Amino acid sequence: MSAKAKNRATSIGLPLAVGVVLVLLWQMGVLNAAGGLTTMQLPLPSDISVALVEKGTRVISDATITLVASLAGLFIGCGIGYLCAVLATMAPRWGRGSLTVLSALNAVPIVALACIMNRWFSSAMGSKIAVVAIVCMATMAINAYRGLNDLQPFARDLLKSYAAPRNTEFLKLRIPNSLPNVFTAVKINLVNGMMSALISEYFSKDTVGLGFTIKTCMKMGNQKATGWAYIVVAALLSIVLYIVVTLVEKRVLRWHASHR
Amino acid sequence: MKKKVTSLIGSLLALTCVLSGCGSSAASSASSGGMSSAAAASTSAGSGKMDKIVLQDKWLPQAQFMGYYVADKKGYYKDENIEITITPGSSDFTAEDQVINGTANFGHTWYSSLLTYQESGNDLINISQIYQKSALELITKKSANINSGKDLKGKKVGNWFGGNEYEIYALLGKYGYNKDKDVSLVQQDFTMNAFNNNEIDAASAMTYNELGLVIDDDDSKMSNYKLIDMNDEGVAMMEDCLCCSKAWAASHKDLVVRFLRASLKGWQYACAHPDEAAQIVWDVGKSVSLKHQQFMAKKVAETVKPSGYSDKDIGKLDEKKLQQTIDLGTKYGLIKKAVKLSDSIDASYWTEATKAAS
Repeated sequence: MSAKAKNRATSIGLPLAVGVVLVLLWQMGVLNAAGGLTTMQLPLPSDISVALVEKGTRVISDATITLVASLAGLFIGCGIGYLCAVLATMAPRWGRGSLTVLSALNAVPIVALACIMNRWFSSAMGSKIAVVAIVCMATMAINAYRGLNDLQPFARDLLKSYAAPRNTEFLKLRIPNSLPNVFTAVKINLVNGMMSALISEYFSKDTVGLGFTIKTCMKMGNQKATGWAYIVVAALLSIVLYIVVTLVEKRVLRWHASHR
Repeated sequence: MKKKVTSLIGSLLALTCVLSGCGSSAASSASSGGMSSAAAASTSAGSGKMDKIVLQDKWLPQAQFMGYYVADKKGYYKDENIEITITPGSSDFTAEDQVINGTANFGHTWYSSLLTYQESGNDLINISQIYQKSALELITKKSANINSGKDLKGKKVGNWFGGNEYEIYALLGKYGYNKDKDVSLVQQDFTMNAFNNNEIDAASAMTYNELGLVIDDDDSKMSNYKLIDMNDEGVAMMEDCLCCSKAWAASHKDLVVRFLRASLKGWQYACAHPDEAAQIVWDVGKSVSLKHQQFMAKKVAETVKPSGYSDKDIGKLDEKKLQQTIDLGTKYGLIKKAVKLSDSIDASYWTEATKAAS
């Protein structure tokens, strides 16, 4: 086994082992005993699994709705955010300041945002997507702006020596240079977006989706395990999406210094 | 590597600390069960020291709970040597949750909601049914021409969910409608905006609360609207009641009886003087206007003491109505299998409390 492979094995194996031990302790009731919690307050993994199976295909349809809302919001939000960064780069005099204003949007609590969007949009899905989009926008704009502008001086000088027009500089230098930052923003936004979608479902007009079901189940004494099952599904979805984006990033950014 | 292991163990330890912190932070107590922790503060009667108890409301301070606020203000609890703390509710937890985790001794909750906790094996009982009929209605605009549950097919029907929706399910079931296919269910927030903006055809409204929001607390404006009454439709499930831990009540029988006696006295006074009760509640918390509190107090009085009931009947456990709640709940998916009525309620405290009063 090479040193690299060994390192890799420990970096994956160790957290995994801790996870397995935690779940085992949880199943054996150690966590409940430690916290003085009943199995209704903290259902055992076996109860949660049973509840998940009992819900059947409903879990998949609820998960799909939340996933669609968060991904659609993610694309729109990231798209607008990137566009803002490009505009700010093209007009640097007012651009940087505008981005600061945009980032103030992130200070609006999701809870408030969800209620406002419910009033703006007649469709429940529309308001969920809007919430996610707004949450994602600023993160992308700030990150992309940095990527578009933190250029290696030698690269800039090289293009200048070629007398390259601004368009070429944008296409060949600025945009590729922004990609690592774009991926960082997407990864942050994936998790944030999922969370925003869940929270906005708490306030949604819809009676479907992971967030709505978590909220409803948690208020009923005999459905807490179902609520936990949905929380597990939401967490798994976020983790899987994160891994997918990380893999894509590795392929796309193979040329970049950080991935060599 | 070694450093990693140490930090992992460290974070595990931290997690354990946080978890155990959650468990024991509830109320002041040394007991480990959680369930009885808030109760530990109370002492035996007659020792000269006041018994401290906590009552958890289902919702914000409003006339829905006026009996307790009146009893507190009028000193009825003090007369029974009780020092009470009335805690407002929230949309994020239930009164039952608070009784189970030891934050409160008593919970004011819906009986239908309590059933779900009893089904999952929690030691909670209904000791007094404060509201004697369902106060849930579906309100529709006259122009929609919805006269009964039968006309709901294809309509947008609203509710708050989280356990409040089962009377609606029973109503739809009564007419053979599939709740997922024959109507579209809409989640309501705590305003009536969606109904006013025609985003909901039939909105859930409590007679004492949301109904007032729609008609500006003015019954004469009712002519623009129609109501579907769960009692008239025969799908009424029992709502506001008092619950507590069965084991805790058994070991604090005297305290439970005294609490109940003072509370019922408060409810009697409030039902007889709704305007004054509204003012008392309004002084405690101004979540809604005084006018709305007064509207609510009158409607609540009609629910706590419907026509034909005397003061002595307030809070009684009507087995027929409660059994109907269990039957409907079982049929329409609130609970998977029927809870036994005799395990679910205990009328002895109420009987004792009203005996002494007469």
